Amino acid sequence: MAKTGRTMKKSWDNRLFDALANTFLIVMVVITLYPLWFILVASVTDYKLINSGTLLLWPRGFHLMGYRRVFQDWRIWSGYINTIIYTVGGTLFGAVTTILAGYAFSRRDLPGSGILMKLFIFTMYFGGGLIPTYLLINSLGLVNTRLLMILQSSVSVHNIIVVRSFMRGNIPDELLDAATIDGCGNGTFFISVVVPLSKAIFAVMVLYIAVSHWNAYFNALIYLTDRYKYPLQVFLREILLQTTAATDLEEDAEAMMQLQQMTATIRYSVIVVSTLPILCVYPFIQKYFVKGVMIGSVKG
Amino acid sequence: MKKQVLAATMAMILAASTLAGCGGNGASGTAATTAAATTAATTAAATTAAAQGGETTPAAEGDNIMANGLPVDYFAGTTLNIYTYNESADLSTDPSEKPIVQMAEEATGIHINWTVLSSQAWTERVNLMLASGDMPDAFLQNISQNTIGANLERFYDLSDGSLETYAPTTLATIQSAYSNGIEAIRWPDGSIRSIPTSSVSGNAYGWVNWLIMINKTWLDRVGMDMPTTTDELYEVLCAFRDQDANGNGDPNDEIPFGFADKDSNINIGHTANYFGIANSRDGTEGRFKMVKNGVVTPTVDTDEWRAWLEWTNKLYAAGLLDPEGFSQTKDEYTTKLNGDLYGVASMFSPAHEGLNPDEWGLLWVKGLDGVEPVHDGTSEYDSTRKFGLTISADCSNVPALLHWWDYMSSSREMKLLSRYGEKGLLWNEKDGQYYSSEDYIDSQVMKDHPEWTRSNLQQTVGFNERSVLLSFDDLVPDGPDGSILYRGEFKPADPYQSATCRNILMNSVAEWVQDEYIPSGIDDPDAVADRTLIETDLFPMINNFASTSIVNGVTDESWNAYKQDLETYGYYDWIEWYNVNKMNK
Amino acid sequence: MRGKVSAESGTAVKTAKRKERERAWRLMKRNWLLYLFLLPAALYILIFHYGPMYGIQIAFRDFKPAKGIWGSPWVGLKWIQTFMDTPRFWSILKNTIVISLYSLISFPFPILLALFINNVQNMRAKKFVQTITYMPHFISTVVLVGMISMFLSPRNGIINLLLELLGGSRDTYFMGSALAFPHIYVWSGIWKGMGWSSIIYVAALTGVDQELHDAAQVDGANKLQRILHIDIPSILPTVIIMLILRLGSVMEVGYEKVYLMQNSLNITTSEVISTYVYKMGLQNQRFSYSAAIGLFNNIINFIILIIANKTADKVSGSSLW
Repeated sequence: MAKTGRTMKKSWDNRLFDALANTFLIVMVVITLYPLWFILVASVTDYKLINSGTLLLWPRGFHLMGYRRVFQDWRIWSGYINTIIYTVGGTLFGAVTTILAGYAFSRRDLPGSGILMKLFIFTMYFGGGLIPTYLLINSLGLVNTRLLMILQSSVSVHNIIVVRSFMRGNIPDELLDAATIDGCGNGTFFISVVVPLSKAIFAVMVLYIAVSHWNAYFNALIYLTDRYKYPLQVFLREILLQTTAATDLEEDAEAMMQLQQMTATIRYSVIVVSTLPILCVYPFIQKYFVKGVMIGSVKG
Repeated sequence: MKKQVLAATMAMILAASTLAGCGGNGASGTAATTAAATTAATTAAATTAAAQGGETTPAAEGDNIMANGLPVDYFAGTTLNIYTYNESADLSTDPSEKPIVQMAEEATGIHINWTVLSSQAWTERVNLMLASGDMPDAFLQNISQNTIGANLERFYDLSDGSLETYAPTTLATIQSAYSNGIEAIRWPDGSIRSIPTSSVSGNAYGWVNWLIMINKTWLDRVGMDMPTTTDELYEVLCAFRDQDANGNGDPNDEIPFGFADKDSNINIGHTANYFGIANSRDGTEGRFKMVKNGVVTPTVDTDEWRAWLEWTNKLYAAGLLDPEGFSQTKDEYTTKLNGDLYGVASMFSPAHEGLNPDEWGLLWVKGLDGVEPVHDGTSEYDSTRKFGLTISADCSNVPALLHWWDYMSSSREMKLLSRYGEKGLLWNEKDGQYYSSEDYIDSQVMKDHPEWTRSNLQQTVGFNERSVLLSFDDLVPDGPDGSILYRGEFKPADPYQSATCRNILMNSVAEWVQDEYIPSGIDDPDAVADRTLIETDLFPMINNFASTSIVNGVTDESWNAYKQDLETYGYYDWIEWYNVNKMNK
Repeated sequence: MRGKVSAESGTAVKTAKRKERERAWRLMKRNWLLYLFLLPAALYILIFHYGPMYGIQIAFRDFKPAKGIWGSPWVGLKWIQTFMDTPRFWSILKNTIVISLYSLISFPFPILLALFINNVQNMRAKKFVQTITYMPHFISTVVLVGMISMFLSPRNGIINLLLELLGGSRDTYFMGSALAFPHIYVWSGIWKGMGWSSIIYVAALTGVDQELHDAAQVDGANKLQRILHIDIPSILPTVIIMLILRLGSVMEVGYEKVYLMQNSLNITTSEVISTYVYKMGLQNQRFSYSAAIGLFNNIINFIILIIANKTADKVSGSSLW
């Protein structure tokens, strides 16, 4: 079908549209690319030059101090491993739960689902807060466990709603009717029709949940006591935020100064180190965003 | 076991009261303290002797009896859980790696289970533990006064005599460290909920804020003298602006006056000092008020304050202030300072910022006739951590914990070991006296860890801020004229070295620092809550008025509206709070 | 018709109700598997969200950790009252509303981006644009604010240099301007979040029927017309749901970025509820006070959500429940 598009003569209005749309994209890419490039350059530039305000196009005073500081820490490796465990585990659990619930909610023939949805949405706005949550998790015996890191924050009502509305839009009711007439049960229908038609939303959910797990640090700070279980982000924040823990005392002033210089230098390398791996996930996700799922043909 | 402890306690209390007369009035209290101190001194002597004899256990000589009358290993076999977080430069994974902790465990037989939390979530974690009741035996890191005050009953009350019984040397150190002795850590309800850690300030003249310095090389380049009044300073800054003061060929890149308003040390407010107003902007306890003749008085509604605002507005309007000063971070400020872009800037000391101390001079000018300038700071600075060690109300064994702690403060050597690590690194002996030392430079530890800084060393091998309390007499002084002991000799003070450079400057500033200050002490938690409620709205309002006035100028109209705001935002109630809760004690 | 039914005798109503119940029962039996699908999520919400829900009462008590939630004294609406009595209450509320409403203009950008990305024929270029635009999502707030302040510097920031090229002045102090604050906050937010938020629309566009496009093309419709009449209608349900959710969180202004951008010059427009709660709760340890203000904020959000949902239901037929 793409071929038919290309063989057609391009009219002036289509050209104008392309020109406008592509200009918009090019502008977006440029204003995004420079700051990203800046971060990359700043991560290997002498910290004194970073803040001097002059336009930074190429690394100056090149060094890898920030990276060395980050990687010399043994914690970074244990952090990486933990983060991968929590991200993979949490994404599996979260994505499956979200998709299943999202699909069930998308069905209009499910008595009681409306009330359940309202109960779900209520929790988006009202909650007990940190202390009762901690007490609960403590009484469940989940404090300082990896299981908690995988479970907590994996399921969000927001995501369930997104999946639900996607499925309502992309899986026509006629399909279900046809399948029902054919004597096809819910299980078979889900596996053979819903799953193939929902690859894109699967991919989005995997991305959303994986990224939120990858970036999470707060739960780890609150619920973990064993440093060997800390995820990457906690260590990176620790390296970064060291200055805030330092005191104003004279004797520590020297330490503060050194830390501050170090912080300025490693701030940017930390971003690179922590986001590169998760960025690599994106291309794998992207391939599910291509068109060509032929709803029409099924319909016909 | 409990009965034994009780018996021992009774015996100790009896013994103490026989020795010192009945406890209760001040005089006998002092006597008891002296007695305890004497015992401590004896133990100290024993420790020194033992150390010289090459023994590992300090109390090897004598009967192994500690100042509290109990054998050192009386509580052997006890295990205690302590929660802590590591200081920023501490590179150890947990405190059991520190020599003092290993020594204490070996001698007392008390084992500590350390849980090292992240400093980022310390406050939240402590609150969660308080809420769940799932408490460790003790916390060895500062917990805020607010937190303790709101949850007093969760912390063990040490005013029940357990300090006297089990930790007499600790008590003696507290008595000598604070001018009001143990009262410094007593809550309004009479209870004692913590044991202080760290040490008192080593500087007899107290705490001085960051210093405003002027670049003398720039002065030379523009051919002007050191200014003595704010008007002269204005002229100098104009010259900095117009000429190529930093000599890089570009006459336009100079920023005459550098500041970063979001950082309490380098904000523009410190220039109000020239107009006789100290503590004009964000800082610690000091801000927005001064103590005069024993009374806390308002500063931000005075004519001097307005005169200062008008002067700074003049500077701003003339383009003499850093145009990014109100929003920039300390990082950005430091970069400009290091890039030779500032003619006047605040700093801890030039050497500290990596600048040449010969190039920078103190800037001290007078703003108003008849009003003496005054420098930010207080003549007493309490650098101890009053809430450094707190014991949980359901601690499994308070006597053992106190015993363990008292062991670590049983002698001056032990205290120094606790704070700085082993002798021969940051402190050493010469002619029977202890001095601070640079011998760590040649040490094996530093050879093994070439990337370590001095702070890394101090915080890793020592407990630093978490050490047992050191009074002024416990501290190791510098050698003659600020020299440092190195390889057995006194190395003369090096003004290019950060600490020395700072000391020299502080000595010259000390005379301008106010003599009067608001005494530090523990306040009623509810009263503090009332005060902080006012502050959350009051401080942003004052800061906003000051900054807007600096940028746009002050008119009678804005000034009157502002004075009205001070009333509405509770400024005078806030001043009164200090008079009622702090000054009338 | 309905009136007629109600006018009828009670038995008819009863029969209708019974029939309704029977139908529901039949559906429930047939769709038992779907309930199983809901089970994990429902259990999760029950345990992790409804489990600690009793903690809401913290907002109406004077909570002290040591006393516990049940042991802390009731104070009723004291905290809301205290908040409303603070001299800055109206200004904080106004700032929050201004920034919230202004932030809504960010909503169409991701949709536009997704449509334009969808329009790109070259596969490589498409992936490249998508990857680049989504990356800012990963920049931490501290670094983002640092970069904003650097690019907006009145000394040599790139924006001021550009303004000078365009004939303006080059020393505008954006970061120190109370007027500029909402603009900087919102537009930097658009920059950071646009690509990330567009992902869901890109995914939704994959469901657009290609045959419709081909048919429209044969009929001579140009690209703009096809986007307007094919793409947009097919992603509209997603758009509407996202809009409802966005409106329902309109009062949520994250504290971190605002806090980092705050200074004594722009505080008159930059103090919002979340920064106030942060300062109150974290710096002053007032759990109940900050819980009460947070609750106040969420109730407003919840009401907006209900209104938005009702409106959407009437106008388009898509709704949350």
